[in-house]
Amino acid sequence: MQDEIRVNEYIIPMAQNYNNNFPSTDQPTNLRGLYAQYADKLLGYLLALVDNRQVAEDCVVKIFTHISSLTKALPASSYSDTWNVLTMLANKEVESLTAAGNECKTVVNNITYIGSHKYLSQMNEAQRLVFCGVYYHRKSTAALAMELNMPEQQLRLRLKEAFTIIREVKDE
Amino acid sequence: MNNIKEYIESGVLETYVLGAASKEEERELMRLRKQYPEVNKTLATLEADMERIAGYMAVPPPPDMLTRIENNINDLVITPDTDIMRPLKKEWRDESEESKNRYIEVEAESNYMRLHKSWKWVFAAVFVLGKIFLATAIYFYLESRQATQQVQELKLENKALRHP
Repeated sequence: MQDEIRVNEYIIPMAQNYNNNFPSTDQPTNLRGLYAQYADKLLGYLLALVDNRQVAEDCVVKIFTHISSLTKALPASSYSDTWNVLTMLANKEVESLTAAGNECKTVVNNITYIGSHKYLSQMNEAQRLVFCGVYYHRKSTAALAMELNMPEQQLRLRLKEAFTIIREVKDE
Repeated sequence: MNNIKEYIESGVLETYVLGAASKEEERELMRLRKQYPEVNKTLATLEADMERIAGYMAVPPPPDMLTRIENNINDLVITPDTDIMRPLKKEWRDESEESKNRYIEVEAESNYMRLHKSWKWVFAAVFVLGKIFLATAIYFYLESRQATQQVQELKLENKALRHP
């Protein structure tokens, strides 16, 4: 089950794929470096999911505190590896907030957010559903395909299209 | 892989950078990227896209947030270890040091003392021996009292016989 891999063994399988040949930016090696590179992005990410800024800030503090106590190393091979672990931890925080009765947002239903978003506003509904489901809500492609009643291959193509739009918006 | 272009176009690379690919797909991708430079190039482009998306959403955190995090960490551990990113560093770390860091040292005096479990047998043996000793002492006390009484009776009998 992909979800199990991503939730319960999130550090291990990603770290197993550790490869320093990945062509990406240098990754930070300590907490301050990690914070400098990712804290603002993580706060922005959480604010897309949580209404309350204070709650989102508390989540960031919890995530960075949690990371420092991990016995396994974070995958540092690429930006996306580290970012995916951080967003996954963010989603776990959001899940516990929801479980505790706090109101959390489903990005794809947030018309105001989407309307003001440079990239999401350029995507069509199908592309947005797929991109938001995987990126913001960390659903596996298989689970999302089932939820949207769409073949997984088609879903992946929508995901690819979403990335093409992101790249085109940059190039404008 | 017959058609690498088809593979790149399938959307599996996008799935991978979003952390949603299966383990089999990840393994295949790791193999193919070594074999085909175009796979590596596409991955690099997607990495840049991911950085762009995250960067676009960034919101500056309050200035005291890092201090809050560091205070939280200092509350948890006495010897902070911040090499959280590089797995290779873990390999040469002393096992005893690692196990030491797993515990929080608390500087406080306790009213309790901890003993090894084997001491419970010693305490049980001392308890049983104590009981035996007490029973023996009571037995000999009663015996001695009875003997004293008998001596007294014999003395009286003896006296009566001497002076009828």
